[in-house]
Amino acid sequence: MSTIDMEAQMIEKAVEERNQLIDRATERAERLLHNAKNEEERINSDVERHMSTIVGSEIRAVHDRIVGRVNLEGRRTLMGAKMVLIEDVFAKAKDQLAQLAESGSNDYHVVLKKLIIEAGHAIGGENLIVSSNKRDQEHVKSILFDLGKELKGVELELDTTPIDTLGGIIVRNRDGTKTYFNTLEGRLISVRRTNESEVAVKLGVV
Amino acid sequence: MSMERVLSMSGRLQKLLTEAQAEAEKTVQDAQRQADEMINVANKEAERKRLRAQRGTGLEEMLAEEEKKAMKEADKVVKDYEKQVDDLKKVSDRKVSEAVDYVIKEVLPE
Repeated sequence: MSTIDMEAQMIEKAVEERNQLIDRATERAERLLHNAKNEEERINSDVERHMSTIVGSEIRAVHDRIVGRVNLEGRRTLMGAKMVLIEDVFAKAKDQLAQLAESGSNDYHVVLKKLIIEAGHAIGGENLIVSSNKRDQEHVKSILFDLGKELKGVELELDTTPIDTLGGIIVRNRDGTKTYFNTLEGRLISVRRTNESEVAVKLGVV
Repeated sequence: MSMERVLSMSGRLQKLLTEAQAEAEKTVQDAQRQADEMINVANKEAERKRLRAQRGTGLEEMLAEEEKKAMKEADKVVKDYEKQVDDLKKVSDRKVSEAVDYVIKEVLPE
């Protein structure tokens, strides 16, 4: 081996050794800093948890007071908006029922007849008095006449004193112990009581 | 190659390695010092916070900070409800009409 080769080999070996020394030191330094960072995060997280147990209730109270109030108001506003929408549906339904009743059409005639039969069945007995508004009295009279022929043994009488209603009827027995309210607005109220949630579903506002 | 030259070269290379060793040690020592400092500062700050919390000092500061956070969250909640109310106003006429038909069907006798 020549002198130059020997020198080159010695230099190369020394440089390699030097680089390894520096690399190992750098790696170790990075590991130390990484571990320190983790430890720092653990300490911070511990103290946050510790403080939260000491003053947590006060902090939660502040949060609940502000966010809770807004949530409550928001829910109330949302509920109000839903009720306005549902109210609108029932108002429109009422308008349509009024139009049907005022039309005096054959459809309404059929409705009146069904309402009377339903009420009669519900009350039972042989002597029934049917009340309606002034406008519907002629319809009711004609229906009672027909029903009188169909239902043998049942006496149906029209109350000449009109009631104040959108449409539909009220039926009572002669001694006044039983009364069945079958007016359109009464039925509308009943439907609202039982089916409001279904209406909300139909509107997609649940 | 003369013996003198080899010895001289060897000496210089040894010096290079000694210096590298020193530099490596310094790098590790610096990192260790920095790591110790980080942990020391974190521990001191943690202790300071613990003591303040235990004494109740700084509570108002924390509550004010929480209030700020809560106000921010409340803003989001308000916006969310406003959007829901807006969406309600956009319920289609078709759906309203279907709901009305359903009510009428339920009101009228079968």
